[in-house]
Order: sequence, then structure tokens, then C-alpha cells
Amino acid sequence: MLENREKSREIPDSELAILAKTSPEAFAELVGRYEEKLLRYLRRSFSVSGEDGEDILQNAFLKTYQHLNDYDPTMPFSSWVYRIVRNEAIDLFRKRKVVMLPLENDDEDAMSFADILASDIDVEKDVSRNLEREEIMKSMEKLKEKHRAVLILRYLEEKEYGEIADILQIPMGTVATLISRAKKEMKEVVMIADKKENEKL
Amino acid sequence: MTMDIAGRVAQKIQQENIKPIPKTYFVARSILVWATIVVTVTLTGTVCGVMVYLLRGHDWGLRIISGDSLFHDVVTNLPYLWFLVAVLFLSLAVYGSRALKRGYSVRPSVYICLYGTIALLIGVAIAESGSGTIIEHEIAEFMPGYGSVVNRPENDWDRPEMGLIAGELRSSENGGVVLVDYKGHMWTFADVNAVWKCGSIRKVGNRVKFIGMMQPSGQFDVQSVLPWDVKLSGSGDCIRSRFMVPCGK
Repeated sequence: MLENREKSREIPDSELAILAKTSPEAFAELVGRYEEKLLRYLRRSFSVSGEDGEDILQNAFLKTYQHLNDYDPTMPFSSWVYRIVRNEAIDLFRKRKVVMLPLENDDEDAMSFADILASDIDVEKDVSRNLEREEIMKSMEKLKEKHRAVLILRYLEEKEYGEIADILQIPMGTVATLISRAKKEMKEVVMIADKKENEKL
Repeated sequence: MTMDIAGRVAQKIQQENIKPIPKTYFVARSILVWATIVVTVTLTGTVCGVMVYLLRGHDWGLRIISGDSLFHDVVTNLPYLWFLVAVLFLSLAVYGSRALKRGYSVRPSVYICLYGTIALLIGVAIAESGSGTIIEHEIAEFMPGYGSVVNRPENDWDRPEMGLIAGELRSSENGGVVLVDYKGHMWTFADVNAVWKCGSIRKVGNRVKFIGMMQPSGQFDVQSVLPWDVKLSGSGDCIRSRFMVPCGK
């Protein structure tokens, strides 16, 4: 049994997804590979509570299982499952008419993300003081949802442009445009916040 | 906590005996989407064919008589209703394409250009084959109020007060003719001997255009008779020579 589990860990996701059609164990292995990553993604993207996150994930995995025959093996399995989870979360938010909550900034990865983003958007030279990581994270909350979504996928989930395109179901060229616009918007938000802070002082 | 999700998913699959949806379902859905795209693009093409017929069928030279500006003529004669129908079908085709696997990887503008071009080619072929005319006439016959929404070529010639009448010859005897216009009104003309132009033949069943002047008494004085297919915007000598002062002015 243990030997089988070890073997299944060596199998790529796409092959495991094909096996999962007939083998519940293979599907359990896939769930095991992604549940933690996806819970973290849900928390970062939608700031859902632990309970909601688990409900979303459970429904998303059930949908994944039911739609295994629709899976296109030329697409990374991770992109497909991220997409299903994202759509499930959006459905839940629409049904409950809940607005997205602020990003959690107690996450260590999120903190390093703030550092990367701050340097990437080259904002330091434009503001009069050193920006706190929390300020960067707070600024993220003010971004348009689609801009926030691409930044999280790119910098926190470390997805390639092609993967982001598959997850958000948009053309790859649009991903590049959105990332560029998101950075621009981020810079503007940070600079406005900086200006307000200076006026207070 | 995370172990719970895997366990809950496995339990639910087992308890509710959930199975992956068969591949045939997704294949059937894909075929249905493709069929929708093909049908909607073809319908867009058909609508384009009708639009080409309407645009070509309109006599753009009529403004010489009506005195309308080119702008007014263009604005009143664009086939808006058909354009909206074409947009609707094209939107359905684009929506269907986006529902295909990886359909999202192509920008909607690319689909619009691609399907628009295909539809236009189909439309020109339909118009050239004469099917656009047949389709438009069938719709005009069976759709009540169609003529009041779309400015048909027949409407252009249903303006007796402006000196324009058209229709089908129903009888031709002793120099006089009886014409039934496109709204079904019967016109009797006592003498139209000297004004048949551009190859118009005085034969029962022929479709002709009458240019003349409506008298205060209600009598219509015919000045020229043209075959239905000849346009005032044409450059033939027979048309140029027929122009008198704008009717009624």
C-alpha cells in the first residue's frame, strides 16, 4: 500500500487525472497534492474563513471528479483545478452577495510578496518614505478584482502567464496587459496613500 | 484540518455513488457548441445577404427627385433591424466559441473579425445568387409590420405625392394601363403612350416604375415609365434624358 502511494507520488498530475477516472485512490492522491495549496490560494484571493474555504474546496473537488472526462491533458492539471476552485469561490460569493475581504498579511509568503511587488513596481523612488509591507498589502485591497487576481497568481502562487490565462480563462496577451495595468494601478494607489500620509504629518 | 477535505471528498463520492460524467456527454456538448457556431455564422451570412440586397436595391439616385441630402438618404435607408439581427447572431457565435475548450485563448475581437468576414462572404454569395431577394420578400410577406420597420426598395416608390409609383402591370389596353402597387392599391392610367423608357415593356405581369406628378384633383400624370430593375442612379442616356424638374416642385 505504502509502496503504491510512493509510486503514485512519482506520477505526473495529468496521468494521475486519467487514472483517477477509474481509481478513487488516484483521485485521493490528487486531492492530497492540491488541498493545502488551494486552501492557501482561497485564503489569499478571497479571504474566506476556514470553514467556507473547506466547503468551497470540497465542492470544487467533487466537480473536478465529476468532470474528469472533460480534462484536457495538454493543459496543466493545476491550472484546471485552480480554475474550478476560483469559479466555485466566485459562485459562492455571488450567491451570498458578499464582498471580498482584505488580504491576510500574517502570511509570511504574503509578506515576501509585498517586498517583491514593491521592488517590481519600482515604487520606492516615487514615495517620500519607506513603505511598510502592511501598506503594500492594504493597497492590494484597493485594486480592481481582476488586477488583484493576476498579481496574486503571478507573485504569490508563482504561476506562469500561460497558467494564469488558463485559470482566469483569458487570452495570454490579456494576462500581460492586466499585470502591467495592475502594477500601474498599484503604484498609483500607493502614491495616493503616501500623499495622504504626508498631508497628515 | 487538510486531511479532512480529502476524507470528506472520498466519503461523499462513496456515499452518494458519484461517478465521473461520461465522455460522451462532453463530446455531445462540444458538437452542439460547434453546430451552434456554424448555424449562427451561416445565419449572420444570410442576414448579410439580405442587407446587401437592401443596400443595392435602394435607388440612391432618387434624391434627385426627393431633394433629400445624401446624409438623410443614407441615414433613412440603412438596414438597422437586419444589422441588429446580424449582431445578435454574431454575438451568439462568439459566445459559443468562448464556450469551447480553450476558446478563451482567442480574443473576442479575433472571433468577430473572423466570423464577420466569413458571414460577409456568405452574404455576398447569397445576394449574388438572388436568394437575398427571395428571403427578404418572404419575410416581408409573412411578418406583419416589417415594411414599416425596414425601408424596402418598394417603399421608395410608394410616394405618389412625390411623383413615384411602382408595381405590377395588371392590364394594358388601348393605350391605358392598370397597375397594382406594392401595397395592393390599384391605379388606372388612361394614356401612357409616349413615355416608356430604358427598355420598359408594356406587358401584363411586368414590374415597372412610374415617375410623374400628382395633380390636386388626385389624378397622377405619368411622365416616364421605367423597368423596376433600372435605377435612377444609373448612368444610361435613357435615364439622363428623362430628368425633368423634380416632381411636384
